[in-house]
Amino acid sequence: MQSIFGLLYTVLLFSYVIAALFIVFHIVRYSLKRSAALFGVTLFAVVFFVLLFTNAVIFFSLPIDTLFPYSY
Amino acid sequence: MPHAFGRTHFQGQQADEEVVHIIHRHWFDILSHFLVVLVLSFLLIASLLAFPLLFPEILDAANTRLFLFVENTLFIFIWLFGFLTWIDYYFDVWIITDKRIVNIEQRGLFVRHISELHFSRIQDVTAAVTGIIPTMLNYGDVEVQTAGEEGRFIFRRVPDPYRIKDVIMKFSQGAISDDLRKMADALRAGKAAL
Repeated sequence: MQSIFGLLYTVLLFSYVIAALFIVFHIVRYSLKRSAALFGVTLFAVVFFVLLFTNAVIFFSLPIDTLFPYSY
Repeated sequence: MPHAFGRTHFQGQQADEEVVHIIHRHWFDILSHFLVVLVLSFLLIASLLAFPLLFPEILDAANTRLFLFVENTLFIFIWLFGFLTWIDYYFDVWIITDKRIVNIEQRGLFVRHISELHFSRIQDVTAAVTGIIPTMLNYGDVEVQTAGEEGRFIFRRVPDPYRIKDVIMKFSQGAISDDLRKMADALRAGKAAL
């Protein structure tokens, strides 16, 4: 059960990271000012990294067998 | 080409070309999109505070972690959605330079159109403010009619459309005067050669 949740979580994590990379690419590539690009990327990346890190920490501390005791 | 840190620069900018105006859609246009993000954020924060009071079973160790995981996942979703909305707004831009108008149209992450129009091709410019809110906030459309196959060039929901119209007209008249001067010079040179 834990491995299925782990697999699903990996897919979710992967999609978040891909979306974030596209956003960073757009900000860096198409910003009209380098100062605006730097500010935008820093703001986005810092908050995103903190959220993603805490998300992973919480997920791996989830007692999945306790939460879903009747699953096989 | 490398450019200065605080200086405006866009893809395809010529070496001797100066950016005069950068025009984004009016802030009211993004507000309606960002309202969804704000409402979702508010609901999420409210649920973070209210759910443990309404459903005390959430305070069990395992349930608390699951609850925090769901909240955190939704926060990531909102953060990404907010930035996608902002990209759609911020990179959808009209740039007026001393030579031409560049329209960069950004739709989501994967649709981006760039078109340009030289001032000497402009035939007519009209500005229109329609509706109660646009009148109060002074935003509307500016339509640029061209001589060639490009047809129309429309600045949609831009702030202060009348001023933008005046700026375009000024540059357009300047470009036409330059063209006439060049033609006159060429004619004079032709006569002198005869």
